[in-house]
Amino acid sequence: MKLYSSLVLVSFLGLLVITVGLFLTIIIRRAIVQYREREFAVRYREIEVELLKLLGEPGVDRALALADRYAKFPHVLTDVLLNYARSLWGGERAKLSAIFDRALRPRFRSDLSSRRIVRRLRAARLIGFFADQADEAVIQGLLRDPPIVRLAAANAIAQSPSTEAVPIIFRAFETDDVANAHAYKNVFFSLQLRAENGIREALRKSLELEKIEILIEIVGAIPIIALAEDVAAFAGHSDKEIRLRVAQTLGSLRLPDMLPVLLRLARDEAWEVVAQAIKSLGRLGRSEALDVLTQALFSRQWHVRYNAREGLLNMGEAGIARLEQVAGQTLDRYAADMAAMGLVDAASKGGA
Amino acid sequence: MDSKPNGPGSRVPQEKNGDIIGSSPDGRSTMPGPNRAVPPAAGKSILVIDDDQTNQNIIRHFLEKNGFAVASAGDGEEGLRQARDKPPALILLDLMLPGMSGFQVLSRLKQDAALAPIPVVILSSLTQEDDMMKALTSGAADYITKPLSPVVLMTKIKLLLAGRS
Repeated sequence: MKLYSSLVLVSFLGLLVITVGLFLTIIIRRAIVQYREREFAVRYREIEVELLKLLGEPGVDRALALADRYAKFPHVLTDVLLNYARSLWGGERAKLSAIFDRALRPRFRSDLSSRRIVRRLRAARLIGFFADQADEAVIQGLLRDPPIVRLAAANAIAQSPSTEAVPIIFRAFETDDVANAHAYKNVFFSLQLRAENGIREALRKSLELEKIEILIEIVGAIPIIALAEDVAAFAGHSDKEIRLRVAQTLGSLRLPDMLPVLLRLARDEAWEVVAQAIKSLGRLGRSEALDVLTQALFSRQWHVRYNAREGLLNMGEAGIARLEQVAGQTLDRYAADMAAMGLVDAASKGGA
Repeated sequence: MDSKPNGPGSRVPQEKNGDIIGSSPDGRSTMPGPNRAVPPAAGKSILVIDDDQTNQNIIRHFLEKNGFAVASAGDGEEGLRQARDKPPALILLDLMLPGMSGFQVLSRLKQDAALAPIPVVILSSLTQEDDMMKALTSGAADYITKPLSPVVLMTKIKLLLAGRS
C-alpha cells in the first residue's frame, strides 16, 4: 500500500514537472517570437524613415549608404523594399534597385537556386521588381517547380518578360492544374499585347473550359482587338459560361464588325448570355441594334430589361424615342415601367 | 490600351531635391500646356484617403516636401468625416478601401454641396478603362494608376490647384 502511494506521488510530481515545463516552454517561445516581431517592426520603421529621407533626393549615394548600413538585416530590408517597390514607379524605383543590388542581390541569386522551396519562393517574390536578364534562365527553371513557386515566378516574369519567357508562361498555364488557372489572369494582364500570340495559340488547343473562359476574358480586359475573330469563334460553344464570356469580351472590344455575333448571342437560349449580349450591344451604340434592344425590354428577365434600357439610353435620341414608345404601351407593364424609369433617368441627366 | 497612363515612355517633369523645377506634360487633359512652370503649393491642405500605410507614407513625404499640409484617413468613413470637419484644397482617394468603396466616397463627396467643388484625384491600381471612366464621369478630376510616380503626382496636384485658383 505504501509502495503504491509512493508511485502515485512520484507520477503526480512527474506530470506536474512536465506540465510546468511545457507551459514555461510555451511562454518563453512566445516571448521570443514577440521580441523578434518587435525588433522587426522597430528595424522596419528605422529603415523606412531612412528610405523616405532619401526619396526625392538626387543621386544614389545615400541609397548605397543605406544598403551598406542595413545589409545585415536582409529579411527586414527585403520587406521594406518589396512594399515600396509595389507603391513606387519611375526614378524613385531605381533607388530601390540600387539598394537591392548592393545589399541583397547575391543572397537573392543563391535563394533562386536553393534546394529549399521556401527560399526559392521568397526569391520568386522579388523577381518582378529586381530581376535582370542574367536571372531569366533560373527564373524559367522555377516554372517547373511546385505550383506555388511556379505561379510566383510566372507572375514575376510577366513584369519584364523576354521573347522566350512568354511561350513558357503559356505552356505553364496549359499544363497547370485548373485550380491554379485563375492565378494566371494577372500574369496575362501584365503581358498586355505581348500575350496576343500566346492566347491565339492556346484558344486553338483543346483546353479545359475554365481555361478557355480565362483566355476569352483576358482578351476583353487588356483588350486585344486582333483576337476578336478568335473569340467570336466560340459564340456557338455548347457551354453557357463560355458564350457569356464571348458576349462580355466582344462588348469590351467595341468592334462594329462583331455586331452580327452579338445579335446572334442576344437570341441565346440562356437568359444570362442574352443579358450580357444586350449590355454589349448597348455599349456598341449602333443603330442596327435598336430593334433588338427595344424587344429586350419585353423580356421576362429583369437583368435583360435593365440592360436594354441602359443600352437605349446610350443611343441618344433614337433610343429615347424607343423608350417613349414602350413606356406608352399597355400590353406589358413591366416593359413600360422599365422604359419609364429610363426616361426619368434621362430627364434627370438632362438627356430628355 | 496602355494600363499605365504614366508608364514608361511618357515624358515626365524633372525633379531636383524633391522639388519639381519644370514640367513636360504627359498629354493628359489636366495639363494646361507644355513647359509650363509648376506653381508653388503655398501650404494648401490635402486629404489622403488610402488604407495602405506605405502609400500614405510616400504620399505624405512628397506632399510635405512640396509644402502641402497633409491629413490622412485609412477608410472612407473617416475620410468623409475629416473632409467635412476641415475641407481640404484637394483629396487623393484610393478606390479599394475597407468598408465603403472609393466610388461610394466619391459619390458622397459630389452629393455634398460644400464638398463637391473640391477636386478629387483617384489613386488606384485598377487599370481597367471602365473603372477609369466610372471615376471620371462620377466627378473625379483625374485618375492616376498605382504604382505612383511621385514627380507626376506632384505635378498634377499643383496644376489642378493652380487651375482652381
